Amino acid sequence: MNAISTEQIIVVGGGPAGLAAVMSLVRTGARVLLIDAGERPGGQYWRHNAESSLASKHEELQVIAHPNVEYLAKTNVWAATYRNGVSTLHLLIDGKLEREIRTRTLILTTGAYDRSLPFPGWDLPGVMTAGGVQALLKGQKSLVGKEIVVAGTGPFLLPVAIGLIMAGAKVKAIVEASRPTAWFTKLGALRHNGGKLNDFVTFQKIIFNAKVKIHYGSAIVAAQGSDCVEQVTLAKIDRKFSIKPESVRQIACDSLAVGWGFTPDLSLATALGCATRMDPRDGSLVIQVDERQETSLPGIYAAGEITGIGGSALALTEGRIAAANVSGSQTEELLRLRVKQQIFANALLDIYRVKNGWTTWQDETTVLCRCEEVSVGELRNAIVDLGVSDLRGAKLLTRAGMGMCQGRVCGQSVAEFVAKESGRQVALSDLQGSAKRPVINPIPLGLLANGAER
Amino acid sequence: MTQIRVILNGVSLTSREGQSVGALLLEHEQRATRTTRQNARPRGMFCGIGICFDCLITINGITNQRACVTNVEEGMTLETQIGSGTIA
Repeated sequence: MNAISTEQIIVVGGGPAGLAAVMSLVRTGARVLLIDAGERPGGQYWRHNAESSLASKHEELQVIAHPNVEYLAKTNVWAATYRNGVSTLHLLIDGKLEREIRTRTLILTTGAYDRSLPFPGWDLPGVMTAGGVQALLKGQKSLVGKEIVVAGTGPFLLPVAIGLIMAGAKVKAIVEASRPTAWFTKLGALRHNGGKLNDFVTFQKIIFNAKVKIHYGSAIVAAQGSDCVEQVTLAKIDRKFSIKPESVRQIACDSLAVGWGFTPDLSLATALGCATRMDPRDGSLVIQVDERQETSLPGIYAAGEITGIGGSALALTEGRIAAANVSGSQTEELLRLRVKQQIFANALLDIYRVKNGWTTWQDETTVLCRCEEVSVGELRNAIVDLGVSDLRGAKLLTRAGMGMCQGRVCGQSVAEFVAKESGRQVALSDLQGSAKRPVINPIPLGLLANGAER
Repeated sequence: MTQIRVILNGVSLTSREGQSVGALLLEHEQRATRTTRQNARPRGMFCGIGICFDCLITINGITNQRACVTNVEEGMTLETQIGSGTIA
C-alpha cells in the first residue's frame, strides 16, 4: 500500500452507500481509498460471485477500476481512534497486520446484518439468518438445505425465498409476522416509490406459481432436532407477538432461514467515538448524523444503514449526499429524493416492527447469548435474585454479550429482555452498553506480539 | 475452474477456487463445524457473513477460524472443533 496523506478521503464499506459516495467523489476529481471486508465490492445487497454479471448492471460496482480509486478488499479495520480531527485506522488485510492510516475526511458506510430473535432451538445447525442463506446463494451458489422454511418479518424474506426456489430448493413455507392489512394505512408512502410496488407484485406471482404458502401474522417460535434442525414450530401470533396456543403446529424441514429486519453495524463508528441515538422506528442503535450526513465528529460522515435502516435506494442517496458535502457540490435535488425515500423506509419499519411479545417464546433453557451459552433461566436469576436491571449488569453477572461476537447478535435482544423483565422500556444506555468495542475485530495476540505494524 | 484438494477430518476432498470452507462443508452435508465449550452442543453457520463467530473450525492447526468467510486453499487441513479446540 502506498503511503498516503491525511488529505486523501477514505470510505469504509463497499456496499451501495459506500460505492455511491466513491463514485460521486471521483467525478469531482478527488482521490479516494475504499476499504472493504468483502472479496469483491457490493456489500451484502450487491453480493455476487466471480461468474456473476451483476457488475455490468450497476456502474457503482465498476468504480473500483477508476484510476483515482485505491481499493482494499478483504480488509478489516480492527481498531480506530479520532483525535484533533484526524481518524486513525488500524488495518488487517487478508489476515495480516498493516501499518495504520490517517485521514481528515472519512465516510463510514459499514451497513447492517440480520437482526435475530432467540427462540428454542435457534442454535441448532441448519438454522441460519435469512441474510446468511442469501449470502451463501449469491456468493457461493450454495444451498443451505433441500427443504427450507423462510421466516421472520420484512420485505427481504420474499427475495430470499425466491432465490431458493430458483436454485431448486423446496421452500416449505414463508412465515411473515406482519399482516397484509398493515399496508392499508401506508398506501401514501407508495405514491413516490411506485417501483417498489411492482417488485412486490412480481415477487408474489413467483411465489404463487411455485405453490408456496405465505403464513401471515405467524412466526416460527421453536426449532427441534438432535444434531440439526428436523422440524420447526409454526404459530399464529397476535399484534404484540404473543403466541396463540391453539394455532401451534409443526413443519418438517432440514433448514430454517430466519430474519427479523436488520441491525446496523456500528462497531467502527462507535470505536471512533461517533455519537449514537436509538432509532424510535425499530429500537435499534444508530449513528447520529445531521442533514449533511456528518456525524458528531467533524470530518467523519456516515451514510446508509448505520444511520437508520432504510434499504439500498436510500443508502445510495445518502452516500451521494455525504460525498457532495465533502466535495462542496450541490445537494438540493438529493435532499428532496432522500425525504421521499425516508417516507417509504418509515412505512416499512412501522409495518414490519418487531413487538416485545417475542420475549415469551423461550423456555428456561433457551440460549439468549449464543457465544457464551447464557440461558433465559440464568439471565432471569440474575434479574430476580441478583438485582440486575440493565444490560451492563447482565453482561457482568452472566457473561451475556461477552463472547466472540461481542453482543452483535444478542445485544438488542438481551437489552429488551432485561427491560421487559424489569418492567421498563429499553433505554439508550442499555444499547450503548454493548455497542462500544475497543477491538473491532478479534485479532490473534501473536500478530500483535510480533509487532507486525511496520 | 481450478480444483483444490483439502483434508477434512483426515478425509481428502475436492473443492474449487473461491469456495468458502462453510460452503464446502454444506456440500458434504456436514452442518456442524464444532461443539460448544459449555454444553457440547453442535454449531454451524448462522449469520453466514462473519458477524456471529458460530461456525468456528480449526484450519491448518489454528483454532477458531470462521468457516463462512475463509476460502479454501490447496492442501488446507480442516478439523471440526471440540469446544475451544486443541492447539496443534
